[in-house]
Amino acid sequence: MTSPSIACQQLVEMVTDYLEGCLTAEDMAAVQRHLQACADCSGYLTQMRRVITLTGAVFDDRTGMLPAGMLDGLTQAFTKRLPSAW
Amino acid sequence: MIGAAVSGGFWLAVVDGIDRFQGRSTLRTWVLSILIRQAQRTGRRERRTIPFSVAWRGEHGPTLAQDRFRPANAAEYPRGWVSPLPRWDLLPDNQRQARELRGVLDDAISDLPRRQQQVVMARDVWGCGSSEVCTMLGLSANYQRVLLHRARAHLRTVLETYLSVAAS
Repeated sequence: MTSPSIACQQLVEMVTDYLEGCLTAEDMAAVQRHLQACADCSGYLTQMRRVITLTGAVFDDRTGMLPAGMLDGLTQAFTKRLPSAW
Repeated sequence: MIGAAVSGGFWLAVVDGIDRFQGRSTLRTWVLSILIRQAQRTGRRERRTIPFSVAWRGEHGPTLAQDRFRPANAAEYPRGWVSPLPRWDLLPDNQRQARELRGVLDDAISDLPRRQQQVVMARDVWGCGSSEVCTMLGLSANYQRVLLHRARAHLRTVLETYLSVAAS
């Protein structure tokens, strides 16, 4: 999709491609021009970024710390797999 | 839903399946595939019904209600917003609000169509890269972006609704 100017209704469907860096150079420039001029679309993009950040925090274990009980579960699972002679 | 998936059942699936890992993907990708399937099974057990609006949501068409935009033949700002976008009243250091919002999002992710759920979990919950997700789920890059866009747009709408109710 290429266009010298982009309407708000189009931009909201382009935000993911914009954030992924998958727009053509022309479309990227058109989106950036629109965002500079349109507070609502700029706000929409900010909200999408906020959704991505919040979604990333949904799983508490992103820090790499094992949730309570996981280490016990893992230990039990591996123990069951050990040969009976051990 | 997602927290419940990372439980003994997940690790058992990894341990039981490790002998079948054939190295066609990285071990990380393979483990993440199991996690996503476990999370989906947990989500399906917890939700016996799917909201009507979600059941009929397809993978085509606009992601925002069209009555939020002016018509294409409007004299002023064609296809522009009808009303200003509602601003979100987010409190940066409010742990309680953050926890509530995460809960709202977790429920909304459970309501997504399967493919959208898989992609948004892999990309935005687990932080996997685009090509890794395409490999894991057998998707083209374009289709993966479509699914991701539709999932994120739905989550944004859910949050918008939740925050507007909370503010009223």
